[in-house]
Amino acid sequence: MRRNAAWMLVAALALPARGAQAGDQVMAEFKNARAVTPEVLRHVQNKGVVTEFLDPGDTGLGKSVSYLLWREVLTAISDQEGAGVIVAEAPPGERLVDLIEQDYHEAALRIAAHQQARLALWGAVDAEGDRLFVDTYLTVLTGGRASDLRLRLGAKLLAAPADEKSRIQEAASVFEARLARPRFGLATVEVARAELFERPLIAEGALLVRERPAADAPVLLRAAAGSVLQAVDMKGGWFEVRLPDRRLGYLPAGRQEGSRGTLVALRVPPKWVEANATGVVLRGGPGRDAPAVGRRDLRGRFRVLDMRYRAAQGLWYRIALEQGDGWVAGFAVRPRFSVPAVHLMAGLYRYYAERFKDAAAEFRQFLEAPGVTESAANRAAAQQLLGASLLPAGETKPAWAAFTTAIELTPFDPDVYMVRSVACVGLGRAETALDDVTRALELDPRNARARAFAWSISELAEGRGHPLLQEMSGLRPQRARSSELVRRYGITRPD
Amino acid sequence: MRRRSFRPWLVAPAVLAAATAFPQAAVVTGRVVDQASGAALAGVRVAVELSGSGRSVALPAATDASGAFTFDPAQHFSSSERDTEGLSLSLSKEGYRGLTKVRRLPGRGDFRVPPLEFRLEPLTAQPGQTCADGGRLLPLRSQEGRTLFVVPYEVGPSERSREFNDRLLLTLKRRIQTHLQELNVEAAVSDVGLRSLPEKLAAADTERIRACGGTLNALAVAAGTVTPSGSGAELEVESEYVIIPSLPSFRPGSLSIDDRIPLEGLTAAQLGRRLDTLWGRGTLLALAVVEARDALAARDRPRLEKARSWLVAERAQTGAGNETLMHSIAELLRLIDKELPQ
Repeated sequence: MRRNAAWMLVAALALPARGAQAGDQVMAEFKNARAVTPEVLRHVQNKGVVTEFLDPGDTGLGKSVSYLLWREVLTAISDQEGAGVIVAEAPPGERLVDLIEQDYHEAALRIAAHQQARLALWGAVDAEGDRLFVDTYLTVLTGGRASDLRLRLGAKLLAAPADEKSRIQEAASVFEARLARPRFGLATVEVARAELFERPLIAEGALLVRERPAADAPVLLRAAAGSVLQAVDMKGGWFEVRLPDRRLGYLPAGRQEGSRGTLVALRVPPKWVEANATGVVLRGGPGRDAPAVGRRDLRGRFRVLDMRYRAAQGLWYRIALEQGDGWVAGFAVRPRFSVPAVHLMAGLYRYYAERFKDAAAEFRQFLEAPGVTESAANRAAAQQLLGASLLPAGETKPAWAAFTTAIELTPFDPDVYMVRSVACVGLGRAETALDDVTRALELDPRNARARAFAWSISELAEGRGHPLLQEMSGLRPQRARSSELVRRYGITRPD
Repeated sequence: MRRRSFRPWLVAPAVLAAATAFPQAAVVTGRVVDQASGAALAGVRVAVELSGSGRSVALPAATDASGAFTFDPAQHFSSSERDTEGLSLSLSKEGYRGLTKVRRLPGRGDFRVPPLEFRLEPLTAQPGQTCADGGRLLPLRSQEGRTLFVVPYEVGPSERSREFNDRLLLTLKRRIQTHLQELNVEAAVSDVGLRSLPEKLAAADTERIRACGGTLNALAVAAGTVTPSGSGAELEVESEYVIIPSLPSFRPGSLSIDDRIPLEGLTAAQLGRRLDTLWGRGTLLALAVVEARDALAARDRPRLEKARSWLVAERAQTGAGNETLMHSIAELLRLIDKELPQ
């Protein structure tokens, strides 16, 4: 029988819901802490919410930023079946900042829970002259249909009887650690207003561009499906676009005006893509069937001029080059969204869907956001998520490096040692597994997870665990050390 | 910290010129005195951290007989680490409260800062000062002890100052409360109040802040000053955060930030962003002290465990460095662990 270690997320994972609508818009109502807006995207398993951003300085940008980021998240997960994003805005005439009061993460949790969502992205926006300051927060729901972010050791015994498989799974499941805390306060992003909003918009259906940001304003232009409009700014939930005749027009970012269900058929590409690749084929159109117009190395970041989705091929970007432009396949570049939170959220969507390679790419983008210095805690959390995404993809060396970096970033966090210790048990690095759990106990001798973990390790080392796990972990030679560890901390069999 | 009554728009150019006489050497010097007596303090341990370096360096030599210390950043930090905007100094000495001061550099990687001065509060000193405005402050007294009082910044005419401070408190309230929520402090406790103190109450020094903070039953008192610096193109902003509650065997230190902000760039949102991390961490520590104090008095073990869990969570989130905070957390955890059964 073949066997190997596996790492899994403690979650009931979403099944793909083919053809499900990916985005929707709701009112976030807080009266008496009860949300009264009905759940939307009911058939979508993997849901997130972007709430209207707080706007304490009354800049009028709270709605704009939330709609923009909602659209960006939609783009980021556009190739993921069974995933959806909801934008929640304050009821007309009310300020979210007044509704949320001091609740913040708790309010985000309520909105997300009501919509059966796993993630809530929210924040605050402030302006000083032309500079915008965007604070983002990400709240991850735990329990129920949602999932804790945990790394758990699994053990696969291929071609084994079902009851044996389940016995091994149960024995392995005690080796688990919390990957990251469920609430993130991310670094402030400072950005020029034009840098945030100026970008191409892709009409996926016929669109009406109006003279003012109002449903009853005269129509300036009927944009055909497939046309590209240039956004120059946002006014509330409307994109301000510059028309070919230089006039300004307005396009709703959410629902069609007057419609209760139809979202404006619009795609919002990332403003930039990044690349570090050699011999990238440039094409004259979006798709492998378009003629190749050149091959070149792509290094650095490139402005996105257009973006198209092709079935079975994914996204294609038309990018500006030093001279001219060209179309590149999405797999050859990495999108750079406006705020790192979009990458973190997209990474979690991928992680929940067990698309670990894609998840790792998003967590890397989060960690490498230019001009943003995240706190040590946020970087450590992202490194752990990166490591947990790389392990199932078989990339044990970079996964190990990511867990180790997380330890260096937050050396006083017992959980960060526990995560690497779980990985060590699966990788047969018994000595480090013991070192790490020892360090976790030194930092917090009362940590229940570390104590239970230490007990399980000692059981394996004593030869009392499942034979497969004993062999996989290589803990038997560590018998004396593990026994000393449980003795030193007075650890007994957990209830 | 001495609060200077300074109005930037009235300062004569001659005064500004005098203020530009910074030492040119890229060696940082400082002096530490006893806050109560003003006497030089020898044997103070100094740890230095450069912003973004993620590591703290304990200087090999403590302060000398004149209370002075010197350090050459090039000796202790790599060139990439020195490419930073600020440095943080943590001072500690047996018998004194710890002190952390975060100082913004005049320019990125430019360590030509004027000599730094520190005053350490002796633990044994009897309160020498009382709160002169105590009677006026009594109506503001916090019942539950979870209010952070802020001495307003004077940034211009009173209307502008009022607006500035209202915005500052709003920004900081959100940042502090989300920080507490991220550490799983329950909603009722994380609803920390932030309140402006009457403008006339000038924070003369840390000792006086403590006296008034006691009168107010405050969680903490934050005070700051804004003064022109250098060529007058910048403002020097000093902010001090003093935790008021204490335990007989635990007296938290104080945290302060010295910053430079372009004259045109001083906005409440910007200042809030520069203060939020230290204030958030300070507030968590202050809440844990209150919780531990009340739990010990009531012999309430679950509450003591709760305070402990907040401290463990805060420490877990804190990267390397942050010496004073880490020392305070470790000290309080030791005290709590002594009370909890094994």
